[in-house]
Amino acid sequence: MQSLIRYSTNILRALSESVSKAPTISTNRGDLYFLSRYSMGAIRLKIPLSEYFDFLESIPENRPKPSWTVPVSNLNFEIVVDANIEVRDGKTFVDGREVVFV
Amino acid sequence: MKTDKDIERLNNLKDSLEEELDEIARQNLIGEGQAAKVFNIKTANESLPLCAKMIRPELEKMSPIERKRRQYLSPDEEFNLQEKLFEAGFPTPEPIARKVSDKYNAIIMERIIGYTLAEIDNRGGLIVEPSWSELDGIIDNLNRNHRVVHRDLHLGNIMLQTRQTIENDRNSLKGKIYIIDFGTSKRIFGQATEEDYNLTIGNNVIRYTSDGSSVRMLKPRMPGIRGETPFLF
Ligand SMILES: Nc1ncnc2c1ncn2[C@@H]1O[C@H](COP(=O)(O)OP(=O)(O)O)[C@@H](O)[C@H]1O
Ligand SMILES: [Mg+2]
Repeated sequence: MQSLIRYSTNILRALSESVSKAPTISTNRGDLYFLSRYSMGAIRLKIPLSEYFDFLESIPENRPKPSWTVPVSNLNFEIVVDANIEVRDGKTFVDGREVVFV
Repeated sequence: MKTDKDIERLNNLKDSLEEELDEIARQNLIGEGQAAKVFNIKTANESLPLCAKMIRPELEKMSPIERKRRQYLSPDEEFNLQEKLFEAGFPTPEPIARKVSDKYNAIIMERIIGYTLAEIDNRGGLIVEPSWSELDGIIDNLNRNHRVVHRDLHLGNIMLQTRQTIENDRNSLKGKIYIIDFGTSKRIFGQATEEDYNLTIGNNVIRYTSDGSSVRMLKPRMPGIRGETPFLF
């Protein structure tokens, strides 16, 4: 996946730093940290990566597109949420539609 | 080890990325050059504006030898150089990501709200701030401190970030200068030679010599005459 999508060091640093704050959304699968400067997010998983993807694939309707959840390695989080997200009332939205990320 | 499921997921990601880039390429074209087309990316109002520089596929097919001969950087090299410069505080759009699919080869970066100097010049605008000498300083700093020669510093590769419009503020444009398009830049290693400084492929707005003196390649703007430079000197 590295060769398809690669984030700049400044983006990865900003996402890494956001992870030290309180999560925006927390579930038993993981914590999502929202970075408003880029409308992006970082997810720190509490379950294995493959289980996380199993979960996403099991969501019936408001499932993220595959290019919205990009796995990264060797950082203090596992997933880059790359989808121009908005956060309202503890829920995430993309283009006005609710999408479940974690 | 990759399972069948991993491979399937990788393929889904590929397809999804291709769709995402297709969608971007259908949106507003905001500029183009020899090497690329640049498209606006929809973003939330409060977040950083973004654009995608889509490298022309013809260029992608260029062999490394041909690329060397034409002295084009690969998109990865261009992205890495812009990243290095941005990190060092140089005024260039913030690099965000590289995205590559079968059809597209994109550099995602900050979109500068404003105009290229070419647009300002074509439409008869005049920049009152910053002055030419500040641009001169930015380029000198690029050469001397960052050890990079841009090589293609025509008016289309220099932008003024401003919320003003040429219509409303034609003769009093103020903003911040950004240098874009490092696709044909060259890093200087060791002692710079006269040749390094003279490397240029287009109508650079300025030329430097290795002794540090600069030669302005544009004439000051004369009232009523366009085509020279949109700056006050
Ligand atoms: N970050 C940016 N923000 C706003 N406009 C841009 C940006 N990058 C490029 N452009 C526009 O797209 C045009 C082409 O981009 P450029 O990087 O110069 O491509 P090329 O390598 O093909 O010359 C520029 O002249 C400018 O009008
Ligand atoms: Mg250009």
